Parts: sequence; structure tokens; C-alpha cells
Amino acid sequence: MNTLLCVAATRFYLKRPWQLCLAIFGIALGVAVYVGVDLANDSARRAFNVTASLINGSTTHQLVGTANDIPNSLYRDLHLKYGVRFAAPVIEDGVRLASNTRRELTVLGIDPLKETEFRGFSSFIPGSETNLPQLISEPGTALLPESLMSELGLERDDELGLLVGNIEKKIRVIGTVRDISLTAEGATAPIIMDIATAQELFNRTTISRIDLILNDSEAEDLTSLDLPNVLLTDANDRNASFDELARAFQTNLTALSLLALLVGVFLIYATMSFAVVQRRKTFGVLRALGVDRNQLLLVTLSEALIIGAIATLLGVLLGHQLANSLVELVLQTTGDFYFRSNVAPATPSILLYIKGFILGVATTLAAAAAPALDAAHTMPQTAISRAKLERSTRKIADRAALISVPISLAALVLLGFSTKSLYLGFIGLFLVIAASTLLIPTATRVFAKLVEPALERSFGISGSLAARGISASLSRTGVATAALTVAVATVIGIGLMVSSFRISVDEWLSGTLTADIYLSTESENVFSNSRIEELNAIQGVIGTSITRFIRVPTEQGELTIRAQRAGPLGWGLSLIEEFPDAIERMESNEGILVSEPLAFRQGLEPGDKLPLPTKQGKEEFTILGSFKDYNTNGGTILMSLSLYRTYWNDEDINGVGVYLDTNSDRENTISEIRTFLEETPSVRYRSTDFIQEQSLSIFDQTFKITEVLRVLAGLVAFLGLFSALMSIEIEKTREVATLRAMGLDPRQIGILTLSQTSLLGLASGLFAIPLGIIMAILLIYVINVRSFGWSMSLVLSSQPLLFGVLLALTASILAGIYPTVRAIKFNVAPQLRDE
Amino acid sequence: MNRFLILATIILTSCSEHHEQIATQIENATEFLGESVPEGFARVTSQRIFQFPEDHGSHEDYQNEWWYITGNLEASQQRHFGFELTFFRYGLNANTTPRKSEWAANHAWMGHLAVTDSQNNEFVAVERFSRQALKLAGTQTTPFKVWLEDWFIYGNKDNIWPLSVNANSERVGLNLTLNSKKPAVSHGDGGVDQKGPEKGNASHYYSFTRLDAKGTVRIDERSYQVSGSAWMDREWGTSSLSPDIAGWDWFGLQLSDEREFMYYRLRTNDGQSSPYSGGSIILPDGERLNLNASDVFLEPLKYWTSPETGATYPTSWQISIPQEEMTLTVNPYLDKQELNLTVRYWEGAMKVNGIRKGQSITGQGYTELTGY
Repeated sequence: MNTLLCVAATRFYLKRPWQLCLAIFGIALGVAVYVGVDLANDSARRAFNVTASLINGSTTHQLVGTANDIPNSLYRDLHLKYGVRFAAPVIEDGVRLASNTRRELTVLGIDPLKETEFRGFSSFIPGSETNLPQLISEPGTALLPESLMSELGLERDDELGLLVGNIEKKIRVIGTVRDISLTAEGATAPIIMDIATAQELFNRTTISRIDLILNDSEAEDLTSLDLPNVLLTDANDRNASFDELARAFQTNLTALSLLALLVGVFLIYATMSFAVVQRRKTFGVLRALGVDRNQLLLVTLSEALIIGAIATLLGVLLGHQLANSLVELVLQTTGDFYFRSNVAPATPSILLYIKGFILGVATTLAAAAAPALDAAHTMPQTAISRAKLERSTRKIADRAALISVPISLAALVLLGFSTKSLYLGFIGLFLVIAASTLLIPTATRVFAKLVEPALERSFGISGSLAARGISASLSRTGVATAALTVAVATVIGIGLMVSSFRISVDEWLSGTLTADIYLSTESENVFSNSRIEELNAIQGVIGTSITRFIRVPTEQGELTIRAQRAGPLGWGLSLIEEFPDAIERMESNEGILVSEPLAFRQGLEPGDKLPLPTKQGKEEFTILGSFKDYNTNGGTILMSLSLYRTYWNDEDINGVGVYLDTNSDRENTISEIRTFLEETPSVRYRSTDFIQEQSLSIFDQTFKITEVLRVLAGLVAFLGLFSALMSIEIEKTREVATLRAMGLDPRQIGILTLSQTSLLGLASGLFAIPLGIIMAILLIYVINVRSFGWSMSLVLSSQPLLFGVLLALTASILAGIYPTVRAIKFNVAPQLRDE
Repeated sequence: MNRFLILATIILTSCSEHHEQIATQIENATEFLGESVPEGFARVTSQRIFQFPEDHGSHEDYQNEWWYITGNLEASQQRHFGFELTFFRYGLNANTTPRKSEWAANHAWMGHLAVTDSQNNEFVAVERFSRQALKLAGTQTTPFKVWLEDWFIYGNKDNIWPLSVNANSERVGLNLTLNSKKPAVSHGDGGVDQKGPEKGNASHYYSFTRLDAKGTVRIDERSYQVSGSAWMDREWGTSSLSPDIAGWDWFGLQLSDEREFMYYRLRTNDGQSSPYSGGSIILPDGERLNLNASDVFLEPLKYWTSPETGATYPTSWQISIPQEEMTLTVNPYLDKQELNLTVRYWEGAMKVNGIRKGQSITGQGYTELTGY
């Protein structure tokens, strides 16, 4: 009997190769998206770790100066007086190429002997040709990134001119450094020098920082020494905020990929339940012949297992391919945007493939469980009655619609009562999706009923039959519509979120960038008071804002201080939470403003105190409010320049905003400013338009991967609907034959088929609009805030909405074409022969 | 002793990569230490009468130099410990152009600290590196001091004795006072130890072969009061190993009849002893008998394969010196005494049993095995 069952099942699928292939491909695609994103995320994460360990090595802590650099003697004292075992001195400073003064490079001065303990120095150096004794003991020698060598056409032992400030110095290249990666601007690997050579190059007697490997008690001992003017920071904390962003970003991607898998699960559910529904008669007969329930259950589950396994295997392979392209995108986004350095991908672990496979097969089995039980419970006598099945389906659908109410409530409670947890946010989102899914079969029925009169008016009996057919075959159409709705809603929701986000960033940039030109430098003492006065005196310049940017180490990671004297058009801030007159109070040195992500992450409220390491030791500053900031620098603190100067004893400026008179000759003024800048080649000139354009292109770059996932989810949805609708229409062969026999002409049958599939597509598209908007709202007000601390407003742009509906309609119309053609060419007699 | 050859061994072993890890070690080490003898360093070409305390300090004209102390110690209830503390100086550049930075250095230092805890079957070895700059590492003559960060050996103002030895790492630490029972002994021919046929392929080599040691050994959180006997080698020169030498086996043994035995066998690539192998027997009164390659017969008795690196070392030996009618069996306190550091070698505490002129003798000491 078992053999018989298997033969019957095999025949069933062999007779419907289309149905089988589409199901397999749909599931495979769902699995592929999940596996692809998972692999890409993992690869990216590991690549970051590799890069971080190349740069930070096994560094656990760092000693950094709170205001100035670190004296050489502190390094010696660490070893000789304080018994620190692993310490490595580092000088990190910038130079420019003498041959191309726009090209900035980082110089890393290190002690190669200490590097063996920290960074595994040999991994920096390809081959064994590098002569380390020479690097240490010969003045002016350096290792160059390989790409820079070939770019500049340099050979070993060639000289290279570098600009330090405005003074040209020569170094001799005695070896190469393996590039960590390349960006559009060239190598990101630094020029490596011995620490002595670096001091001589920069004419300094200090070092930038000391990298340390400490255990907890050693770290405590060192902290208790309370060394003056230095701060011990945890190397992990230093990038903690960046890690958090990258993690949030990856969680978002994983959630999106799960959504794709979810659509895949719908698909298998649709396929399996459909395959069961189609064979109810066969099962009924089999039951009547004495096949017991367990055997039927086993056969149905085995079918699901086989289809699931084949599809998942295919999905894993596809996912592997997909990961290759995705990983570049993930790395670009998380790398460029958050870490400001590119990283190369790493080979993913085999476990992820296994995980993807197990997940794919398990979800297939879970999705098939209900139809399989259904098959097993087929009663011999009821199996024949299609009408009875549809009645019970309607009942189930109505019950499901009722269940969606408590699920929605649970989602609301979860989202309302958690404020920070990203995971709970996602669970809430998934619950909302689940609740909507449960509503859809009933909604489809209601929708069909509502449009029936209109269809009848337009297409006559075909239209009316199309609408009624939807309710009448709810067991087939319900799940398909639900799957398509979720997929399309995802496409709409993400589209709305991204476009709202982009609009918010654009508005924020326009509001913040009040000046016309921004000048910045990484060199010291470039903008003296007299230089700024000269700048102000240029014809057509109506004023300047001056800013000091510094990075300060805090216990919660590195933060940026933006100390500013505002220009003639004010601060350009968009405040979120504030004490009254926050800006005035900041100007009168009563406190500071913090960026929104920083406030969110650290739970800072107006009135709180934030300790910062100043030149006079740790000082607490009152928070007056928070401002919108879409920068990903880990957190910004805004204060008045005079407050900064009081605490940091630092008169230097590294940013100037220039305001131009709108009535004067702009071109002329700009060219005068350019001439003025010739004296100081280290100053970077950027127009506001340029910054805005650049920022938005980075934004688009960041969301490229989201777009890719959106398209993939759309594709899964498309396939799902296509296969489901086609199966429905093909299954209607006998119905069509009856209708033809009753006198409907082929054209009418064509209209009936096509309008029925289009109707389902339209229903999905329409249902997807509110669900998509709800998803966008959750993504914007819950997920994004919890991931990045960014607030923004929902903007209902029409493009994503239209795109979603069009996607659904196109899929359904395309899916209707083949059955329509088939129905038109239909030969009635054979189908009705056994009636 | 032939530890200067360590540099060359690194290059040699790189030809027979056991292990990826070894390959990285070798890569590190060759890059760190350089491959050939640079121009400008002095070579050992003539005999030398050692002058103290001056010769205890650095000889920076020569490229390589070390201070090497090994010893066997005992805590209460005859609990045995072995230790090794070494300071290597390596000349990076013979030209000494004056430079502005305080970090500028022409010498690099490498230190090894190893402790053998026989009772617990435990061996801990650590290394550290530093440049000779900012007073991070270096030597001084009066009072004698050699240091690498906070590891140091320092002597008394006039004479170097008693010598204080102090080195700590996370897991082990040493704090010992050493007193010499015998005067310094010059090895080779008038303090010149020839390593190969090439002129200048030689070193100046002297030893204190019997030092009373007292102090503490720390293993993790516990310190043990110990006393025992140590050995100090001093050697410097500028040379590379002859191409046909694969490594060496060195023995420094203190015997119960108040004699000491030092012998190094330079092993050729085909496993034979090089004619440039040699050693000394130091008599109870401090007099020295010269040993040539033909005077000493070595036979490995037992091999041990390191689970960490896969290298196989002959750790038990039979040593015969027919002219002295002496046969010694040398066994390690512990097989696991491999220093798996940037430079990989085996150096371990040994116990000795044997017969000399019909009398049974015992003893202890250290063995160094390289090029395996």
C-alpha cells in the first residue's frame, strides 16, 4: 500500500511539472535570500574582526592623552615603574603627497619589536623581504601600501616626497605593507614607519597613544594610579558605538531576510495545502480502500520533506551565490559609513549553510504540517464534497480573522511597553504581520463580494463568476493572497521607510548647512585669528562660523566635540528635546547639547550631567537638549567655542563656514577665497551643494542593499503568486469544461480567468497598502529609532505605494496568461467524459 | 656555548616547515633578526684576555651578545624547579648616525624566561623584546647591570657578586641571588670559540659554571623559597652559521665530584658532528681541560615529540669521554621543556647519573637542543 501511495504522489507531481518547479523555485528563493543575507552578514562581521585585529591587534586598552599627546617617558615608566607587560607606542598622523597635495595619507609610527606581541607584525608585511633592522635603525625609511607603490610607480629604495604641514620631507621606501583594502580614493593601509622615524618626520617628541594588553586587575591597577593628562580606555569600548550601529544594521538585514523566508513559507504552505486539496478525492478513495491516517500523514509529510530538501538545497546554493554580491554591499555600507574604512570579505563558516538548510527544511515541514494533517483526517465520504471543504475553509478563515485581534493586541502591548529593545521591536513587527495575514482570507472574500456587482456590470456573467469564484475557492485563493500581500507590503513598507528617511536627511542637511562654503583641515594652527579676519574681509563674504572638532575618549566610547561660534545665519539646529532657550543657554556657556543618537543610546535627558575629559581633568557638563543628527560618528556634543576654550585651553580651529552675500558676484568671491587658500594647501574646500550631494550619495549607497532585498522579496512574492494562481486556474479545468458546455464562449472564459487572477492581484495590492504603511510606521518609529537612535517623520510618497500595487497586478496578470490561453483553446469533451 | 647560532638556526629550520605555526614563527624571527651579517660589525679574529668588570657589559661593536643563566633549584621537601633567564642583544646597524628622536635605536633586545616545575609536570616560557632606547633595555658596567624593561640582572658595586636576578611574567617569576664558587672560565682557544672554517666565524665565550643560587620562584600566585646551583654564560661575536650545520646540542652539567662539563656538538645536515664541536671540563680548582670533537661521544637514548609543534627532540643522552673514563646518562626532569617562542628550541633541566673511573657520580645541569 505504501508503494501505491508513493506512486500516486509521484504521478501527481509528474503530471504537474509547472506546479512542482514553481514551488521548488519559490521556496529556494526564500531560503536563498535568508542564507545569502546570513552569509553576507557573517562574512562582513568576520572581515571586520580581521581588520580590527590587524589594526588593534590584541589590544585590550589604550592610553590616550586627554588634551595633548603622550610623553615618551610615560611609555618607559609603564614598563619600568608600573610593571606593565604589554605596551606598544603608536604615532598616528596625517601627511599629504608632495606630488599631489590633495592626497592625504595616514602615517602609523610603531615599534616593530612590540608589534609581534600586538598585531602579529608579519601579517602586515607580505614576503620576507622587509628588513626590519633597517626599518628600525635607518632614518627616513618606511613601508608603503602596495597599491600606493604601484599607483606612484615606485620601486623599493625609491624616495617619496611627503608634505608635513607645508614642509616637504623625503622618505625612502624599503618595503611594502599589505593593503587592508582599497577605497575609491586609494589604499586605506597606512604608511608604516618606526616610531623614531615618525617622530623625526613630524618633528615631535611625543607619541599619539599607547596600546596595551591588560587583564582586569592590571587595568584596575593602572586606573588607580590616576596618571595625569591621560585616560585609559577599553579598546572594545572605543568602537562600541560603531559596533552597535553595525550590529543594528545587520539585525535589520537579518529581519528582512527572514521576511523573505516567511514569504517562502507561505509559498510552501500554499503549495502543500493545494496539493492536498487537489487530491482530496484520491485520498478519500484511498481511505475508503483502507489506507490509515498515519500512512497518509507520512506520505504527505515525506512529500513536503523531499520538496523542501530539494528546494532548500537549491536555495542554499543560490544563497551562496547571492552572498557573494551581497557581502560587497554589506561591507560597503557598514564599512564605509560606519567604520570609515573598507574591509575585505572573509570566507563564511560551513555551519551557516547547515543552519540555512535545517531552517529551510524545518519551515517546509512546519508549513506542510497543517495540510498533511488535513489529508490524514480526510473522511472517506466527505472527501468527495468540494462544497463542504470550502464551507469549512470559510469557517477557518473567519476564525483566523478573529484570532488576529488578540495577536494585534499582543503586538501593541509589546511595542508600547518596550522602549529600547530592538528584538522586541522586531517581534512586534512580526506579530503585526501575522495578525494581518490571518485577516486576509476573510478580507479577500469580502472584497470579492464587494466588487462583484461592478464586475458584473462591466464583464457580464464572466465578471460575476470571477468574483464569486474567489470566495468559492477560498481554500486555494486565501493563502496565496495572504502570501502576496505580506510580500508586497514588505516592498511597500521598506520603500516608504527609505524614502521618508532620505527626505529627512535631505531636509536635515539643508537646515544644518547654513553656510555656503565649508573649509576644514586636519593640520594644526592653520586658521589663526588674523587669517579668519582676512577671510571675512573678502568682498562678498558676510561672515564666518568657526568650529573646533575634536574626538574625546569617554567611558562610553569616543565622542566628537563640536565647539562652535555660530555664523550670521545661526546654528542651523533642529532641536528634539530641550530646556527652554537651550541654544541661548548654550551660547551663554550654561551647558551643552548632545546629538539625538547619543541621547537615545545613553538615555540622556535635558538636565542630566555628562562627564567629559577636559584639560583640567574630568568635568561634568549640563545637557540642555538634544539635536537631530544623522551622522554615524558615534555621538556628537555641541558646545560654544568659548566654553570649550575655557576647559580645554585650546585656541585652535579646524573648521570654518563661510557665508556669502547673495547679492554680490558669487563666482568672483569664490575665486578670491580659492586664491586666499593657496597659502594653506592642507585646507579642504567644500561647497554646501557638494556636501549635500556627497551625503545623499552615501545615503543611497547605504540603502542599496535594502533596495536589493526589497527587489528579492518582490521576486519571491511574484513567483509565489504566479505559481499559486496558475495552479488554481489549471485546477479549474473541469469547472471551465462545465461552463463551456453550458454555453460560455472561449472569450468569456478568457475574461473570467484573467479577471479572477487580476482581482486576486488587485486585492493583494490593495491590502498591502495599509499593511505596508503600518510596516513603514513600525520601521520608522520603532525599528530605526531602536537601531540607530534616529528619529524621522513618515512621508507617504506615492512611488513605493504604486510600485507595490503594480507589482501585485503584474504578477497576477502574468500568472493569468497561460491558464487563459489554455482555457480558450480548451477541448471540452475529454474533460467531461466521465461525468 | 653556541647560542649565537640561534639566529642561523632560524633560517635553517625554515627550510623544513613542520607546521604552519613554525613557519610564522620563523617568518617573524627572520624578519626581526635579519638574515645576513651586515657590514661594519667587528669580528672575533684574535685571542682575548677577559677584563672584568668591563667584559660583563656590552660589546656593541659586535653584532650579537648574550647573558645566559640556567639553574636547578630546590624548595622544601626536595621540590625541584629549573629556570632559564637570558638576555640577547642584537646589533641592528653598525653605523651610528646621531638621531633626534629618543626612540632611535641601533640595538634590539630579546629576553627569555622559562621555569620548569617538575613536580607539577609544568613548563612555562615567555619572551619579550625591546629596543635599546629610552633606557628600556641595555647594560651598564659599574655597577654591572643588564636589563630588558623590568627584567634585570645586576651586580654589586665593585665585583659583580652577589648577582641579583629578577624577572616576572604573568605566570612565573624569579628573584634570586647568585654567588660564584669558581672563577670565570674562558672556553676555546684563548677565549676564542671557533664555529667554522671561515675567519671571524667565532665568538668570545666565558662562563661561571658553579653559582650558588638562593631566593624565590613564583608559579602563579605561590612563591617558593629555593636554593640550588646555577650557571652563567657570556658570549659575543659577529658570525653566521656555516651552511652545512643543521643545529647543535649543548650540555652544561654540574657533577657531584665538583667538576663541570660543557660540550656543544655542532650537527651537520647529515646528522654528523662537525669537527668544530668542542667543550671544557672544569676541575674542582677551576682549571680547565679542553675537549675536542674527537674526545666526546654522544648517543641519543630517547626521543620526545612536541605535541605543540610536532618537532622531535632527543631528550635523553649517553655521553662518553674515554680519556676521562667517564660515561654519563643525562635525562630531563621533564620532556616538555620546549620554548615555543619566536625562536623555537628545547632547553631543559637535566639530571645526571654516571661513572667516572669506576666511581659512580651524579649531577644536574641544562641541555639545549636546536635545529630539530
